Amino acid sequence: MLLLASAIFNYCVAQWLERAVANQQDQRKKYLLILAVFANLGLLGYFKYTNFFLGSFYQLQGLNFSPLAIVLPLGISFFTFTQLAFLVDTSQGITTERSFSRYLLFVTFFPHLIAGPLIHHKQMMPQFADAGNYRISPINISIGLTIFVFGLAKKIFIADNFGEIADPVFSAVQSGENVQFFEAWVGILAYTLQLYFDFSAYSEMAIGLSLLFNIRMPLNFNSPCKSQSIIDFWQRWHMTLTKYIGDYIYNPIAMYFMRREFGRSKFKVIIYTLVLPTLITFVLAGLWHGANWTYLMFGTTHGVYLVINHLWRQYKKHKGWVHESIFYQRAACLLTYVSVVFAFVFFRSNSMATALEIQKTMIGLGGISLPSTFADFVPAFVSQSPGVSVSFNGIFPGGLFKISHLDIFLLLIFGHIVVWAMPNIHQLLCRYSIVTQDMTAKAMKNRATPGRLFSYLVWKPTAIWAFSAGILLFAVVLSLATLKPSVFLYYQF
Amino acid sequence: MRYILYFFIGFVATALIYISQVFLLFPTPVSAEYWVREMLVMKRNIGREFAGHKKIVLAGGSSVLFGLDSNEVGQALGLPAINFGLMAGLPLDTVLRETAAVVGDGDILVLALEQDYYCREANRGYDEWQIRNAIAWDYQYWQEMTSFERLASLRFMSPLFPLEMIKARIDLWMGSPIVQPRLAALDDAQVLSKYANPPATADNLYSIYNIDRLGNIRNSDEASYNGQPYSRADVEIQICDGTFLKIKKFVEGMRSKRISVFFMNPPFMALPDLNPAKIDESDEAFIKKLSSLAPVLDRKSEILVPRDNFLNSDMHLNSKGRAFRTKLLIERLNKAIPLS
Repeated sequence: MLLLASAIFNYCVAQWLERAVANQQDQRKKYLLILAVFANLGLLGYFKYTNFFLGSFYQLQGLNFSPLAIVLPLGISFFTFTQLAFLVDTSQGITTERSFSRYLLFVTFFPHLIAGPLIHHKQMMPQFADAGNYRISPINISIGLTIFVFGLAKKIFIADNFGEIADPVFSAVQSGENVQFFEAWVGILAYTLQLYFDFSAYSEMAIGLSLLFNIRMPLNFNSPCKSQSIIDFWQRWHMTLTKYIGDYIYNPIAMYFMRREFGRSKFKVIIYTLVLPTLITFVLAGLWHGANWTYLMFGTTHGVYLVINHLWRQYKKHKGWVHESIFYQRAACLLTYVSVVFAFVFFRSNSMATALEIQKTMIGLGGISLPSTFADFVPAFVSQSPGVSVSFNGIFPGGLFKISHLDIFLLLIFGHIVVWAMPNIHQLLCRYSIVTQDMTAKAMKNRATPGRLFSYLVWKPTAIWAFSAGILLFAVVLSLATLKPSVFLYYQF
Repeated sequence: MRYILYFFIGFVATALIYISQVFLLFPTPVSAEYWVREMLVMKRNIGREFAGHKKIVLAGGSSVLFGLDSNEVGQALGLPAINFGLMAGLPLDTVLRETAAVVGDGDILVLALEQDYYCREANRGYDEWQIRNAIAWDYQYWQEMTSFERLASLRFMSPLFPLEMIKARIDLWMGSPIVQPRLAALDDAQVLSKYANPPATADNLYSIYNIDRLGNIRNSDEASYNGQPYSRADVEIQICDGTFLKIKKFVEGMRSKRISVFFMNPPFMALPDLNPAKIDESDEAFIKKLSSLAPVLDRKSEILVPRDNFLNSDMHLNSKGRAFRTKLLIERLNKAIPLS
């Protein structure tokens, strides 16, 4: 009902906006847009942020707060933001849509509704309007089925297994238990892989489901762990969100500041045209993920990373350092990965206290436990250094993990090989157009094919691929009945 | 279109191969809970020893095995008493079938089933475990299922289960040491001989060496349970229609043999945030429904047990908790049927 009411309201506002644009009624257009933005954000704010803001307010007053029983409607962030973008573009005369049924289809198109990607009317409306897309396409169904099954298998057989390793570490810290250096690292690395596989699985399932209806989704996930910088990371991770916040938050703020006079102060230029827009954008992006201080810190951390990254780029350009050796590229990739992993601690933790405790442990200040055989090799001054507590009770002394140490290491190694060395689904399906082309061409650059090493994995509509996907579907269906229920991590957003 | 056809052929063919392999390879000594089978053999044997005598049988899952002392009950009430507590993961059909085989004319049966048993249709936590046991040793349960139920039960198994069955068959064929203890557990004579010659100390808690001659668990003094209990006393125990009919049929069968049947609650942890009004409220419907079949000996509010009375799970009482619960049972049985 909420989704329907929201679609009807926004469609009506869009029609009025369109008329105001046509009649050049700027004042009316402005008020209509403000009304619509407030109504949409008000709705989102009520459902998603009421408890957060009231809770924070009460906490500041030193009072107890019992959260209100507000149920977060599924996909509210996604349908709110897609419609806001539509209204903004309508108010600028960039887009128009007269057909309510097509508009409703755009807003309620189910494959993306729960966990993205954030679709844009410019990508979707032409597809909904194309009569050719209403015919059955065997090749699209073949590709769609295959991608969907592989995505689901990735979620069930890979992502959820990493959750089994990560969850006990975070639960232990939440309940006040002391975890050690290696346990903290294993926990957050496992969570990073869980989130990676979970999100990529969902994105693939959304692409696969859409293709069954001849609709192409925008590219949303493009091997982000292979990023060589944080800028690169955000051009590969949740790409549609990055584009959205770039177009509708960062650019307007940056444009606003750019119109100001800064004189000769380079510092002011940097602050107003880079630091402030980036930080504001990423604080909001953090909050978009959820109403918690930890999400806000996640966004802020990435904002700071991005500012540093932009400054470094400018410095490199200034110095004329153009050539990047293989060693530099690998080191940059590793540094980016470690930075992202560090920020994901905020993303996973349920409170700032938990996040900070885990990060403290990750840098060695929470205690390092080594195998007892190391006792003879570690010099006394190391174990007696201030702030560092070294013990010899094994690398995982807390007994947190249900599976063996060897299995944990093997799983982590397997996960990292996949995220760093294996081709992604877009590369494996490089012969076909499975996503909208606007973002793909730029994002894939010279990475459109899986490379010679994995060329034999390139998908073709052959019997072998069909049988394999069918067998995998059976295994997935069977596992769905036995495994405990698990939701996609991005459902909550 | 050919791709889509092959896709579905792949799916259907895999399903058929999977199902036919499980059906063709049944029974196979795959990894399962063999100690429960050993315990069952041993308890059947205790039942045989008392056949023809009027006795008290305390039946249920492991909350009975750990939580009631048939020695005490027997001494206090002047009748031999058997602890026929098995394992809460066993199917209700198996528990009722095995219990029916032990009780005889004029006996007193106390049925203290765990909460899950009253609505197994909805509580599916043990499905895979049960099917494994059915394929490994609980053949009767497997055979009593309809073909459709057997087929449906396979959805709880892992995709690699047929491979595990093949491996177990190869191990069997090659006489591998992995399957030897499993085969020993399938042989009643070997189990009883093992029980008759116990080692000085039991190797672990879940071993028939740790069960006494009247079916009670031994060496359970610890209080190591520190988890969150699965069931709370202030939440109503749901009785599903299918289960109710099964129990009704069983009780009627018992009555026809002049067996007095009583129900008893499982133990609940005395949690600090329990709502006393809700405990009684949640008990009402449960007691009302069960009482239509046979008397319920206790109320939830009477069997709230502190955390340090639990052994290693929220269903297993330690010796302290067992003494408390047994005392309550003796008191109630004394009132219900003046025996001594």
